[in-house]
Formats: sequence, C-alpha cells, structure tokens
Amino acid sequence: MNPRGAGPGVSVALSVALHALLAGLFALGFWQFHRKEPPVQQLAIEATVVDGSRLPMPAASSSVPPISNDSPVSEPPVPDTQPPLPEVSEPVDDSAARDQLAREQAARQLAERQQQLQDEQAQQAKAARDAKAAKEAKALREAKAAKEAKAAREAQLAKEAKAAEEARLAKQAQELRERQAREAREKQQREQQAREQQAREQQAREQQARAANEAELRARMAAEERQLAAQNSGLLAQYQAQIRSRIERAWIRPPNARPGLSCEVRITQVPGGEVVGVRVGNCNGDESVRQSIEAAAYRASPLPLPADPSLFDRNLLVTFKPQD
Amino acid sequence: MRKTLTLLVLASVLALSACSGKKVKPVTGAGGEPVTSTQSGAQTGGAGGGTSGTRGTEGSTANGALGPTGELGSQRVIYFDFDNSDIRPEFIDVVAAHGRFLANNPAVRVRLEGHTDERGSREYNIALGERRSQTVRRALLLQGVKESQIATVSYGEERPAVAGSDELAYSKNRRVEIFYIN
Amino acid sequence: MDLTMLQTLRKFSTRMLSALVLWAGAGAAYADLSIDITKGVTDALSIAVVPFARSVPADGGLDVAAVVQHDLEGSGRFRGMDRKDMLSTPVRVADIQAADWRAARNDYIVVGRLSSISNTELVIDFELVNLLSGQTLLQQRVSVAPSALRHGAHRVADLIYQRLTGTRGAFATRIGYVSVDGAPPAQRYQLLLADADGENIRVILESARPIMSPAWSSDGEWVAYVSFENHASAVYVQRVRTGERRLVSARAGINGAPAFSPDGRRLALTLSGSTGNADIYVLDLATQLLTRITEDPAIDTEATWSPDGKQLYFTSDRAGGPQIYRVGVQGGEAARRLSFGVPYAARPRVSPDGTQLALVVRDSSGYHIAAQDVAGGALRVLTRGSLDESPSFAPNGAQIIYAARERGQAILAMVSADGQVTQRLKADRGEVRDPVWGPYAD
Repeated sequence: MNPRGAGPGVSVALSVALHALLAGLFALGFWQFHRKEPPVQQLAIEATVVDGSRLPMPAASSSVPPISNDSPVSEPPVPDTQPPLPEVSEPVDDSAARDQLAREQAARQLAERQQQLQDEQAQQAKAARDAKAAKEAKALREAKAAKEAKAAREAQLAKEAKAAEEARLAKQAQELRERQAREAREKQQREQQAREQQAREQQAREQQARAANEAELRARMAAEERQLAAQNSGLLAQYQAQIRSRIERAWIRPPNARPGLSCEVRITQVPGGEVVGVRVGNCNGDESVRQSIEAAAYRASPLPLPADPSLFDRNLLVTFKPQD
Repeated sequence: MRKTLTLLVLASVLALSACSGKKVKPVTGAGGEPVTSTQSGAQTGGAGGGTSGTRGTEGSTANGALGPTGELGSQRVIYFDFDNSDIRPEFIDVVAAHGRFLANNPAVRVRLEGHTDERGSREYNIALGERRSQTVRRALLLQGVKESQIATVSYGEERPAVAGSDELAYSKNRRVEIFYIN
Repeated sequence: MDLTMLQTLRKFSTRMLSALVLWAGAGAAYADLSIDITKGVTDALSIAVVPFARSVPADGGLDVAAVVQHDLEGSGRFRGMDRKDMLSTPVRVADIQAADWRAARNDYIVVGRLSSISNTELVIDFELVNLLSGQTLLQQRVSVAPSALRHGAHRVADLIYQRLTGTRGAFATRIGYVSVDGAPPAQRYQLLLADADGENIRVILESARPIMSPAWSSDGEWVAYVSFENHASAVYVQRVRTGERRLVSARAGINGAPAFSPDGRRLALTLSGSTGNADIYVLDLATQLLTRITEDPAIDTEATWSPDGKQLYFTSDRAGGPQIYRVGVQGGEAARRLSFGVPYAARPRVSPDGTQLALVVRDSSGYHIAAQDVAGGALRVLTRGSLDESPSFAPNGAQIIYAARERGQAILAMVSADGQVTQRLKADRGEVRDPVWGPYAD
C-alpha cells in the first residue's frame, strides 16, 4: 500500500488516522450500543415492565418512561348516554280535511293489505312447489349413489380377500424362512455359549485360586491392622486416663465450679511431659475458675508419658466439665 | 482500666479510712460509752430453801421473812423435766401452799422466774422458761390468787443455778423460782 | 472393559484401601488429644505471703503480712507457708525467684511494701503473682491512716481472696457477741464488738443481768439486743459509733429476738404479753406501729428476715417440737414448714444471697449447725460439736460464725459454708456466746 519511499511521518499520520477512525467506530458503536439499552425503570404501580429495546426510541432523553403498545394511551371514557330521540312534528289544526284524509288513508291501507296478503299466498304456493321438486330430485340422487357405493364395496371386498390370501401365503413362506434362520442361529449360539462357558469356568477357577491368595493376604493384613488399632486404642485410652487422673488431682476446684461449667484449656507439652504452654479457651466460668483451671494445667506437669511413644501428642485439648 | 481501678480502690479506701478512723477504736473506753446497768441483780428473791443451796447468798433473810413458812411454803424452786413445762407431781403441793398463802394475802406479790437448762437455742429457751412460769402462774390463779399479784419473767438458759454440762446441773437449772417482792 | 483390566483395577483398589487404613491409623496420632475432666479435689490453694517491707515507726510494729496470712488461712481456702521455710524474702516482683517458691510447692506468692506518705497516710503496695504461669495477678495499693493499718491489712486479704476465689472477702468486717464472767449467781455480762478475726475488741454494754441476741442493722450503724437490766427482758437499739441507746420494747412478758429488716425501718420481735405465749411481731421504728405476725398457742420466736425484706423465717413448735417456718410479712397465707427429718430445728439465719438457711439441729450426738437450701432439701450438718448454737452468716456467705463448747469452755468458731473447714476464734476472755456477723463496712 505505502510506496516504499514514503517517509515515517506519513505512516505515522496514516496510522494515527486509522486509530482515530477505529476509535471513532468504537465510540459510535458503543454509543449505539448504549443507546439501544436504555435503563428499564421499575415503576411502583402495577405495570408490565417492557424491554425498552423493543420500542421506537423517543428523540428526547431516556427519562421518559416507555409507553407500551398494548395498553391504550389514556383516552377520555366513552359516554354512556344515548343520542336523543328525534322529535315528532306537531299536526295542523283542520278537522274536515282531516276526516276526508283519514278515510282515504284507511281505504288505501286496506287495499295495500289485501294486495300484501295475495302476494304472500302466491309466494307460499311457490315455495311449496319448489320444496317438493327439490325433495324428489334428492331422493333420486341418493338411490343412485347408494347403488354405486354398493358396487364399489363389493369390488373392494373381493380385492381385499385376494390380497389377504396372497399375504398369508407370503407370510407362511416368510415364517418358514425365519424359523430356519433362527434355528441355525440358536444352534450357533449354543455352541458359542458352550465354548464361552468352558472358558469362563476355566477363568473362574483361576480367579478363585488368585482370590483365595489375595483374601488370605488381606485377612492377614487386616488382622495385623486390627491388632495394631486395638493396641493403640487400648494404649491410647490408657494414656488419656493417666493424663485425666493427673489433672484431676491437680485441679483445686473452687466451690463455684458447678455442673454446667465448661472450660477448654489447650496444653502444650514437650517430650518428657513438661507443660510449656497453657491457654484457656472457651470458658463459661468466672475469673477464679479460670485461674484454678490454668493452675491445674501447670500443676499437673510433668504429664505422664504413654506406653507407646508414638501416641505422644504435644497438643492436648482438655475440657473441664464437673459432674456433681 | 487499671488506673481507674486503682483510683477507685484508692478513693474507697480513703473514704473507708475516714470512717474507720472513727470506727476502729482501741479496745475499751473510747467511742461509745459502755453503758453500765445500775440495777445490779437485786436478788431480792434469792431462793432460801435447801433445795437450791448454791443460790442462797443474797437477801435470803429478806425473802425468808416474806411468803409462807413451813415445809412446803419455804420451798421456792419448782423443778421441771427436760423439754417439759408440766408441774411434776411432787411439786403440786408446794405450788398449792404458795397459792393458799397468796390467796389469803392479796396484798402480797410474787415474781415467777422461769429457767431452762443450757441445751438448745437461747431465745427458744426464753419462751420455754416463760411457759414454765405460766404453768405455775395458772396453778396459782386456780387457787384464787389475783392476776395483779403475779409477775412472770423468763431467763431461759441465761442464769443457770448450777454451772456445768452434765445431767445433774441440767436438772438443777430447769426450774421456776418464786420470789416474794414486797 | 475386558476382564484383565477389571482384575487389575480390583487389585489396585485393594492395595490402596489397605494403605489408606494404615495411614489413617497413623494419622490419628497427629490430631489434638482430647481429655475431659469431670472432677477435681477440694483443697486449699497454697500461697506464700512474704513479710512486707516495714515502715517504722509509722506501722506501729504491726506485721501486715501476718494478718493477711492469718485471714487467708482462716477462711479455709488457703494454705500459707511457714516463714521459717522461706529461703528468701523478696518485697517486689523482680526479686522473686519463682523456681525456689515452686519447689516449696507454692502456687501463689504475695509480696509487699509499706511506706509512709505523710503523718496521716500509710500505703501498702503489694503484688499477687501466679508462680505457675509467672503472671502478676494483682498489683494494688491500699491507703490507710496509721491507726487503721490493721484494717488495711484486712483489705489486702480481701483483694487477694476475691482475685483467687471469685468471692468478695469479708476479712474487713466486724462481729458482735456476748461474754460472761464469773460464776452463778454473780455473773457479769458484756456486749462486745470486734474485728472478724477477734481483734480490736470494744465493750459497748456491761450489766450484771443477762444480755442476749445482738443483731446488726444492714448499714452497720445500730445494734439491737435484749437486756434484763430491769429484772425483765427488754429490747434496746444502740448506735454503734456514739453509744446512744433507745428502748424499743419493755412490755409485760417476753421481749426478745430482735431483728432489723434489710431496709432498717422495721424490727421483728418476739413478744408474749402477760399470757406468756411467745409470738412474732413487726415493729415499725418510725411510726411505732406493731403488727402481729403469728397467733397461735405454740412458741413462735427467733424471727429473721429474707434479704428482700418480704418474708420472715422463724422457729415454732406448733408441730410439737421446734422446727423452722417461713411466712410472708404481709400476711394472708399460712406459715410454711421448711425443716424436716430432725426432731429439733431452730434459730434460722438466711445467707446474704437468700438461698441458704443456717440453723441448729439436734440429733443423737447433740446440737449442731446445719445448712439447707431455703427451698427445702437435704440438711447438711456442718459442725461436729455437741452444743453448737447461734449461727450467723458472713456478709459474703462463705463462712458461718457460731458458738460452741470446747473442753467445757464456751467459745466462738467459724465454719466454711460447705462445712469443710472449722476454725476457732481467738478467745481472750472466759465464756463467749451469741455471735453475730456484721455487714460490709461500705
């Protein structure tokens, strides 16, 4: 792109321009992105919160709450009242002309009614005739249809019977083939199984022999472990009992150390049993009780040593819980 | 915190010492004047009879002149059983003798002093001694002696007739003494 | 997967499992070893009270450390060290060779110094050190007038006692009691006050007739007592500091067993009138209003107040022989019997916290001091004499002073509230009885 002879200034300027363009694009895109996601405001009233991004954006700032297309914008309510009835006009006051008018009106009305009646009768007769004709035509059609349907059914039945026959024959042949194949397969399987069985039995015997060896080995190991654990737990319990007895003798229990008291003391000892650290932990007793417990820990020094040196523990957690 | 505590202790001890400077006195004499009771036990009613010989030192002549004479009447001490305030049978006649005398001499007055042995609680023994005095009083009243002629008092175990913690001393201390007082 | 792979897997897992078990077993040894302690011993705390540095002549020759040691040992909760066994006599913490003192089986040590600030002020500086942990538990200064140095020593003992037992010390309190000289019928009676250790005795009443039943008011200003100086019983109250005396009751019959209410406004009394039947009354000292509490043909006497001032405990033989009863001062409900299981129970006193009763009981071996829960329950016999009587609680409830007989002589003794330790009070005169423990001085 750049012709070779162009100076570094040009390349710098171009790269700056490129960066500026990119930055501008980023900004634009960001802005766009930003504009596409206005904050959705949770209103205190019951309203469905709509995703603002679906709405046509108002040109103004996004502080205007979005308006949903579903709910109607508040419109004035439709009035319930009916439009008023048209008014009836007042007649002119002229009695003789009115009587003549009335008689002529009556005669006209009578004639009209008679004509109406005749028309109705003619209509009815026509309707009756039409109906009858339609009925006859319908009956004819139906008879024809029935005959055709019957013929079709019979033909169909015949066809089906034939097909069924054929199918049965085919099926029989198929079954025969399948049976043969099956028998062949089974035979093969049996032979296979017999072979496998033999192999398995062989394997099982070998397995058993090995397992027996392993079991014996495991049993021996387990026995050793149990023995070791028993020794340890027995010795451990003994060690604990010795320490307990020593501390009990060393604890000058104040009268207000009553049942319900629970005080923890962490004792640090060095090999040889000498107590080098005492720290009273959780304790629901008063100062004199704490004193007595701390003193007990020190006075118990040196603590007895365990019969098995591997049981020695530098850190003891002693809990004082008088029972009586 | 420590400083506050020390200051507090200091303050309280100062206050204390200010008071105790007055309260803690040398052994006797200073501070509250020891009150000496002036009425030293005027034993106007020293029991003159032989039944309680250890008491016969004071005013026996004065008392002997008052009250009934004669074998029964000269007995001025009634003895009681342990924890009991009933008059023993052997003393019924003695009480009767005094009752007759007093009934016949309505101007004469007596003081009945009840006592117990030293066993048991002191104030309870005061009440027990009083019960004994009351028994004798009631017996006298039954014989027509007027109430105004009889006063009772109880010393409980406070004034034993015989010192000692054996049964003999005890038996000599469970008593009511009759003192004629005018 | 095929068979061989399965076998290999199985083998592997078995080996893993065994290894795991072994490792876990070994691993348990590295967690903290837990031990539960459910009992201890009841024993005295061993404390060395080293002689304090003197301040001559201001201290008047008083051995403050000796007073402190005597107080602590007398409580029964401490065992002091003999001075002749002390290898050194440090007076400040820096001089303490802890190992030496520990070797002599001391758990605690007290060191101190007296100094004279002025003619009117002496100070005792002292420290209490825990020899086991090396921690200085107390570092205090007690300041007193020279004439009250003894009292200051008791204050030091109080502070040490409280720090190590959790209970306030009562070494700086006083007692009252009656002494009798001479043989019947010429006895002489005295009412005396003294320090709780029996020192600093002061006579506040003398008489040729019996004095009995001294009782302190809660503020320590007044003592009530019964005097027969007028050939009959009468109840007086006397102001301790001035000796001012007031006659409270000299009615016909019994006037006895006075007891101040906790608020000091009322006095419980036993009166009988001329019918001679002892009953309990409450006298309002300001209004002189007399309220009758019991009314029955039995003997009712020896009333004592509950700490809330609402109830009276007393002795009554309404059941045949003396037993302890309780009744509300307001009245309205029957008295409730509290003592059972003994033919004789009398002279109740309530502990300062209101939970315990001290009383005198009689069994086959004589009269002893016993204690029981106020609510009832088993009697704990605290003393072993045959003629023990007149129990009275220290204001911290830790001890009970009482009267006893030793080799025929009437003495005063103290027993710890749990009955563990008894000590005899020093006696400087013949027959002493009827002790009463005074309240805290503040």
